[in-house]
Amino acid sequence: MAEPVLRLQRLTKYYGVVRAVENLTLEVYEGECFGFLGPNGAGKTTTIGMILGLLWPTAGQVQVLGQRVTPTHTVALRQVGALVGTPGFYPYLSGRENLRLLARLYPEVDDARVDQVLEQVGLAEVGHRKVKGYSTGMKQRLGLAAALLHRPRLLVLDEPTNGLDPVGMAEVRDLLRRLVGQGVTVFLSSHLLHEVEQVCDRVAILHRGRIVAQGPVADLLVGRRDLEEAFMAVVQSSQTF
Amino acid sequence: MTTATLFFTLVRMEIRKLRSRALFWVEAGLLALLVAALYVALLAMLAQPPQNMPPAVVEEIRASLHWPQGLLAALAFGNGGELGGLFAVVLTAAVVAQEYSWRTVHLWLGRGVGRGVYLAAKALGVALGLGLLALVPLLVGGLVTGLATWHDTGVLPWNAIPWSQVFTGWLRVGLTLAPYAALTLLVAVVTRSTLAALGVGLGYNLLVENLAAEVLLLVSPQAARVARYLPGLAAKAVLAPLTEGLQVEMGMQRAGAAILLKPGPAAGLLLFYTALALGLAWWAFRRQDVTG
Repeated sequence: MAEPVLRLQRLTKYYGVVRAVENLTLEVYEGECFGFLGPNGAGKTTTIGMILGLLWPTAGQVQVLGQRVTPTHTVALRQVGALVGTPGFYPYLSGRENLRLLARLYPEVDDARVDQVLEQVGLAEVGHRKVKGYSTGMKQRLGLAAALLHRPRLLVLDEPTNGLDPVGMAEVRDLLRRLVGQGVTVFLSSHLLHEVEQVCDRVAILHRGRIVAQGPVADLLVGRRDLEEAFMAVVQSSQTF
Repeated sequence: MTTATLFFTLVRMEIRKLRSRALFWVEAGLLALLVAALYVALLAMLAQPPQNMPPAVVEEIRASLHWPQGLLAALAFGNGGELGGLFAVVLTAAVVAQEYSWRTVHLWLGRGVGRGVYLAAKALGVALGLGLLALVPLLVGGLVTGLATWHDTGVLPWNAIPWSQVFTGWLRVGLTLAPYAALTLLVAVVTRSTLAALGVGLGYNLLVENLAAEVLLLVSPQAARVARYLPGLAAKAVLAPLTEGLQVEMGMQRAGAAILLKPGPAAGLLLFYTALALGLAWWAFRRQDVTG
């Protein structure tokens, strides 16, 4: 079997005595879209924080493209594009200037590529405006543009449609489908089940910091109307333990 | 991209960000205004010196308002124990802590930028910004004292300007700013709060250090000698060659003049404080969970 693009092994994070995630083990392979589902507070963002080297795991490890990632060892993240929560940008710079600043990290990214990703996320017309004047949805789009800027092999997206209107959400879903079609691996964290159902091949369901189900979307849907029903069944059965 | 290339790329980004920040230009403008106001006050005093002021002092003030002495004296306005320290704290607090509140620190760390490289580039970016701010008093003071020189003598003595002294003076002023900026950077990293960094930085600069020096002076002459190891008096010692012979002095050196360290050890002490604060900041940043 091919080397996974992302591997989490017994990943655990405690904040003091509070468990955020425990013993997460999963693998994401090249070219697949992996859905990371869970209710609010399940530990999705904490997991992504550890994948991106922002948080120290209490135990376990993260491997990206075969290399271990910790907050002090992040070389593999050069090939990762990420969007975590509401993305942060320099408010006194325009959207385009923010992306140009980031582009300096990647010698292969030029101004034309910056304009291209702005176009891709529907911000070409407002790229010249300062970010402090952007709505939440526009910031989310800019975050997506920043994640795509350097043509990453792995995209890690945490609630990418937050703050978007229905049209924007549909556009993001289409974009993700296109990217997966182009061979980009996507790790998509969301609590919007229909969103995940439409774009992901496999999912893991996280509940109270633990993975309670994992597998292909088609398998989870067997005997169920949709992913929402499957999700509710899995979460409710895990609560009985 | 090698670590060195990445580091210099990040430093260039820091400069780019600094250039675009209104705060930097507001600080530079404010510093220019304050220095200009100080000179106007000195010129006004010189026009009508107080009757009880000894003629020798009047002559020294006059010298400090003319080239070449005026250029060196102008530099000292931006030192860490005076106006420069306050501006250094404000700039450092904003530049470092706002990366947390804007969540922009995630942008860099989540892209594989190492924490050590990030912090080192941030520290150098701040240092370059402060270096530019330290030039403001020189430019404003140079202009004002140049005009005064030309008005009084009809010539500008370009050949008499000690350029090497001006340059080393600028470096000395930069060194006096470093411990205050490093302390602020440390607090900004540990607390992730602009307000906390400002509070501690300004509180130390304006209150704690002066108070400690005064209290030590009151205790005994021996205890007062401890005060010379504080950044404020160490800064005075480093700047002593710059302001030598001038009575137009500011702040604490009146009390501390007799106990100042020699400039060399004082410079070493300032470097030590700076390195200590930066080292602690790096240690804290390395262990930090960047959340929120």
